[in-house]
Amino acid sequence: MQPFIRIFGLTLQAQPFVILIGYVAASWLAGKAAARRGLDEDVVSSALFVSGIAWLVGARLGYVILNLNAYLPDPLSALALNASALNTWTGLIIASAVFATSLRLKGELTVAWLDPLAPAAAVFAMGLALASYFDGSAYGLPTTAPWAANVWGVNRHPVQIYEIAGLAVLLIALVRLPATLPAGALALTFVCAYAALRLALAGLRADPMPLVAGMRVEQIAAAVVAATAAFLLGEHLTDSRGSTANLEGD
Amino acid sequence: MEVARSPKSRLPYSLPFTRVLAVVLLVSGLTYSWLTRPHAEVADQMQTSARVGAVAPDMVLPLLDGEIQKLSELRGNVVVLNFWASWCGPCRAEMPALQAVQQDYARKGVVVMGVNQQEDAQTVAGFMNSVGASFPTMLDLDASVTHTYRVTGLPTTYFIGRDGVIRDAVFGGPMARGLIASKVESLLRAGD
Repeated sequence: MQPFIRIFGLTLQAQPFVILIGYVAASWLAGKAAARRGLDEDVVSSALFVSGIAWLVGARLGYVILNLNAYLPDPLSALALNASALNTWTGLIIASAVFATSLRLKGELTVAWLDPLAPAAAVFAMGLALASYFDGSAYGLPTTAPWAANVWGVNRHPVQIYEIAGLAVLLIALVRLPATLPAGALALTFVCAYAALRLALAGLRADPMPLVAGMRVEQIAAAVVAATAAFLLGEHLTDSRGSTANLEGD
Repeated sequence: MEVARSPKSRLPYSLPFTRVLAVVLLVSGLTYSWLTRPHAEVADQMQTSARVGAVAPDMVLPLLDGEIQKLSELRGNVVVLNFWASWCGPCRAEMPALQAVQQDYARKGVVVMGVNQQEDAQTVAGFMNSVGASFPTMLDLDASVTHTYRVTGLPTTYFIGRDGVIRDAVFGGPMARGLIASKVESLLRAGD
């Protein structure tokens, strides 16, 4: 665990710094992936920039609203710079809405824009996993494996490293898939594969997680998401192939 | 040339591979979730550790007045364990917030407990007077507790539930009053 990093004499909190680096790298990759698909690189870059800010605002707003009693005596403390007072889900909802709105205002809101986000999301997820490694969260079960990492004084599965490795393989696969796949297919492939990866890795984690019927909620949700994405992908590819066949027959 | 389609499906082929894959993923995923569900005995083995979800390691340290304080004696209260030092700028900046939370929540069973890193009682007392803080502070003169809690930067704050389990941690600062209060209230609700 290394929650602080020192760069050029400055002591920084590792988690937000690594997440920021991951976001910048993901935005760059999304632009390149968009260009590869014949889409406007600047459109996706500007949309992601605005969405990033929207995520921060939405995440802070969500956290404050959900803890309103705590902030009422000192409302200005809602503006304090601290990465611990953020609600990921409200941030994601608002950021997604802003992203879609940004594309719509440019007349570019189509399913095709989801595909450049797929490799970008893989890179961003790698940043999140690395951030977890630095702050010691999402740690693994004890193990005697030779590659175990000593976390919290015990040799454990380096689950965050497993996730980064899995995402690296997924990223390579996504980049190698042909750009001629139907719009949305790449995004569905990413969702299916990443959900399956999270499902597998959650079984190796030892940190407290919400449970239902003794099972981790994350694993159940990941199984449902992976299965749904695989089903939708199959439908999407089959419909596209059927449409193409009809066109060829005319 | 038209492609023949089955009457019950808009697909030109029989059940595609990915539909089978979807079902396999769902069934195998849920089975895997069941087989790898958390076991109580694993959690018991790793019970005491300075990580979220584990019982906070106990400490026996002197307070400013010389009295000896054990962390475990605070079991039953929500504890905000704040590691700090007078030379740490963000530590100084968050002192008023910590003091405010101590005053507002003391009657609800919340204790703000400082752990000063390797400074003598006179220095610590003078500093706390200067920032208007009066919450109890333990003196970790040899940094043994700091080492046990793997504190690599200041301030570092652990939020400990009534059961003595670390429920949250904040690395760095300064923490605002709202942030500290939100985490305290979350622990108070959990303990109800």
